[in-house]
Amino acid sequence: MKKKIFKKWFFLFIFSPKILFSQFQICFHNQFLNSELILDKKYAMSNDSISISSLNYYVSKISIFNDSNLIYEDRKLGHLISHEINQSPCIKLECDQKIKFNRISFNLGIDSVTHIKGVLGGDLDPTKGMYWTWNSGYINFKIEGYSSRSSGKNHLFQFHIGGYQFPFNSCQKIDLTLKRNSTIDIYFDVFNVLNGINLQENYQIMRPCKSAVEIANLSKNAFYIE
Amino acid sequence: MKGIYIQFFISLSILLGFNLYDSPYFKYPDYFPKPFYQFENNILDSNKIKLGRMLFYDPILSSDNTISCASCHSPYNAFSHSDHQLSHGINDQIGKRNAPALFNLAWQKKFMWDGSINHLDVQPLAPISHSKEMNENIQNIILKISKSNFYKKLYNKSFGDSLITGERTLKALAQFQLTLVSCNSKFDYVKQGINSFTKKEKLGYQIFLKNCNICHQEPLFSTYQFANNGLTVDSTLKDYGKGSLTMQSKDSLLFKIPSLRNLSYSSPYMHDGRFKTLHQVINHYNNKKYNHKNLSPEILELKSLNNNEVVNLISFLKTLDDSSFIYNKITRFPILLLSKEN
Repeated sequence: MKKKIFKKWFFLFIFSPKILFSQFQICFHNQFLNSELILDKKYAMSNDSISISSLNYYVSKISIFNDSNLIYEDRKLGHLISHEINQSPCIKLECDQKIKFNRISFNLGIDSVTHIKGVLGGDLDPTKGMYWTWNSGYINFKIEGYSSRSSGKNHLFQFHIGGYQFPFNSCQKIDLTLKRNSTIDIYFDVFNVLNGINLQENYQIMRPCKSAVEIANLSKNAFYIE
Repeated sequence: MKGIYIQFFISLSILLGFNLYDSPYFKYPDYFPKPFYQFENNILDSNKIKLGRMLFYDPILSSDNTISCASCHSPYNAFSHSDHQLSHGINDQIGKRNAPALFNLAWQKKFMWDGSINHLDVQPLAPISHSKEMNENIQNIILKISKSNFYKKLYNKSFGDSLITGERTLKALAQFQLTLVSCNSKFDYVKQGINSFTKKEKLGYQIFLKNCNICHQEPLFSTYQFANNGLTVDSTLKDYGKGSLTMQSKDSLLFKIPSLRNLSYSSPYMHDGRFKTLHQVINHYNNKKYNHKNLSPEILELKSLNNNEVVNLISFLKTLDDSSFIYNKITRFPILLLSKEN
């Protein structure tokens, strides 16, 4: 008798996940000075005029907590957030809607363990333009544009921030406190990144190095919850 | 009692399941170490290997459809490039390195002479994207392949549908390259007790064990680590190997230690192909005129060899030639590729 009940429950557990779980979303909103980022729009900054032509970054290892208890862990190895493709992309997660949570953590970039797994598919496929060919590794965060102060060709700047090995690991862990049980809207203000860079001298990074880690640090602090 | 049998069967199948590298497409002798490649992430399959072989020999991977992987990695040279110190790619452009031989890749952790590539799967991206090699990009290759019915069929057979992605393409290329196992040299037959060394070869083997085995460790004949073997920098190439990549002085002039298998087929030697003969290579180690700060310490402990010893050492090194690998019909140019529409 006991066995039969066990079998029934087992059956339900395997074949009815959609009843127990439903989808919920984490949405990313890329900003410039607290308003929605518009590509190729001219923005005024102190002594500078700036426009962004491209913004792409990876988000991985999404974990949701209630205080210090881990409630949900995303199994996907990485999500590409591309402002060209979608201005407010949302990541759909399979999770119990009724869970209580008040904290989220995720990585900006791809961690070193995932980096040595060989070729990966989906958002992590090397055809996405976010993988270095000359020196293995993902570009964790890519931002390109124009700055009147940039000494680069045609005043352009180009930051391809990556690197997964010591001492130039640029993958950053972001930890944000949420309002209890609210939908998760995460804001990323590009102004906070560019404002910390002297674009006159530093306008081009395309390899793992000290300045790449510094920019990764700036990017980490540009995420916030409203 | 029945339960015990079932448990035994389950644990046995788990054990066998973990032993995926022991596949019919990937055989190696028991005295080889366990391969480093994680086959569970890319389980070998005859259709995928076949697809990888087509891609390896197809110049579609280059921007003007003239250069294939095999252009610089010819099967008859143990998948290296003969006749040229430095390999040449698209529009007769000369690169800065000697294309290395390709075999026993499943035992290697890092690729390229400077170790810039961290996994076999992603290695092809480097020559594909290099402006002097294939001058192409993986996005465009996927577009080109997606137009080909020949490839659509092969992807369908391999992956169950004809979707062509970067991941699938690179995994198939890795599968073919993983099957390039060289383990049928005279040395291997001696090791297995099927053959025996001549007197010269035996003496040469003793010299090898005393002098070379630290870096060129048997049975793979390389530790596949990186070392500074004292070669002076070519003033035109200014190639500092791993140092050029990491910009750290401790890595200056560190290059990947190559295997000593198949040397007869894979001349010239060294990262820049500066030596044409094995005599020249051994002379370099005999000369001991090095002035590098981070020279590998093993080099200083090398004994200078006399002429007789050099002859014996070379006799031994020739027992590492594997002709069955060179003339393997399963890995050479696939005739089927000729039936591809253009």
